Amino acid sequence: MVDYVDGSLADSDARLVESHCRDCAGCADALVALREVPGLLCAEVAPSPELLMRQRKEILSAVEGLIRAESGRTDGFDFRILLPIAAALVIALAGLISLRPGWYPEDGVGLARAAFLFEMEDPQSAAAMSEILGVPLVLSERFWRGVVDADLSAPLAVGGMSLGSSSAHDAPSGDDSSDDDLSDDDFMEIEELLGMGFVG
Amino acid sequence: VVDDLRLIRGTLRGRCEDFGVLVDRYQGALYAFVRSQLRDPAAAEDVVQVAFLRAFSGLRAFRGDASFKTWIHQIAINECRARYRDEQRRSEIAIEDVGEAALCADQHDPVDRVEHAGLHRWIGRLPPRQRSVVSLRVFSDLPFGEIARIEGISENAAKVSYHHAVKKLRGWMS
Repeated sequence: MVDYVDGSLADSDARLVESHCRDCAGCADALVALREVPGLLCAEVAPSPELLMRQRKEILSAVEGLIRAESGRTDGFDFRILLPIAAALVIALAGLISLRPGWYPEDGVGLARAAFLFEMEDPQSAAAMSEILGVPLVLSERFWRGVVDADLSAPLAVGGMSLGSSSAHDAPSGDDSSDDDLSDDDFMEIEELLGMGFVG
Repeated sequence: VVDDLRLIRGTLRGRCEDFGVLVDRYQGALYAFVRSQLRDPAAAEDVVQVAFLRAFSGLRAFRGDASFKTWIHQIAINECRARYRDEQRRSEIAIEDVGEAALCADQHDPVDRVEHAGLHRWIGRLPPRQRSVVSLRVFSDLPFGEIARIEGISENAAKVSYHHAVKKLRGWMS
């Protein structure tokens, strides 16, 4: 019946419905209802053009707001995403410093090694390193004993470098005098350098 | 006539006017449908607006399995049902909080209090499924296949539901 009113029945089926409704008052009545009721309902709830116009304006205004908000989010770079990266870098740097041998800030010997290495090339760098670390380069007693009591004729291992008066050793790279052996005078000079504000 | 999918693509590229065309196409039918479901005209207006905004926000998720018209009606139905539930919750007042006089005065079926004029008020007396099917068919002009999809029933069940609803309406009207 619904399909008949919709006009979606094949001709032969439509003819069957029509012939049935001629003899069946109930179905004929239903047919009338299906044809009339929708039209009556529609006429009653059609929204006014003013209402539709006002609502359209409100919807599109809200949509424009959403579009603006979305483009605002994507246009400007959100620096907040850098926070976890910065935090990770700080942690990694701290880990690197703490794990590197000879770089324990509390360890005077470790700092001395660092200072020693830098002083071999540039005392200013050592001072700068001291500032960067925020810790004065205070050499421990142990270190001093190591330097003072050391048999200077034997190679002295400091900061991974072999230092000695006569034996072959590795000098810091980039040093102009890298191929020269360190003499007693060199050691004296180093001791002096270490004593220049770095030694507690 | 530009088809809905093209308008949706345009909207996704930031062309607000394309969404305006979609609003023009379906706003009237959607309002009539929602108005048949809710007793409060202001709530009906609100639901239509919310439905379009939800559709806009979820446009990227629209797969095109159903038409945009069916989709937005589905959104509106969900919103209407959510409001029904809210309304019911609000009306469930503890019996000790209700005065005796109020209990005597309010004995009508709540659906009878739908403030629609004329024939339209009868729609509120239909069972929810029939009300929804007849409204989707009459006001939104959706094919039965789409109504069945929205309601989660078979196409034949939708037709039968519609037939019963119309017969009831005709009976009440006469």
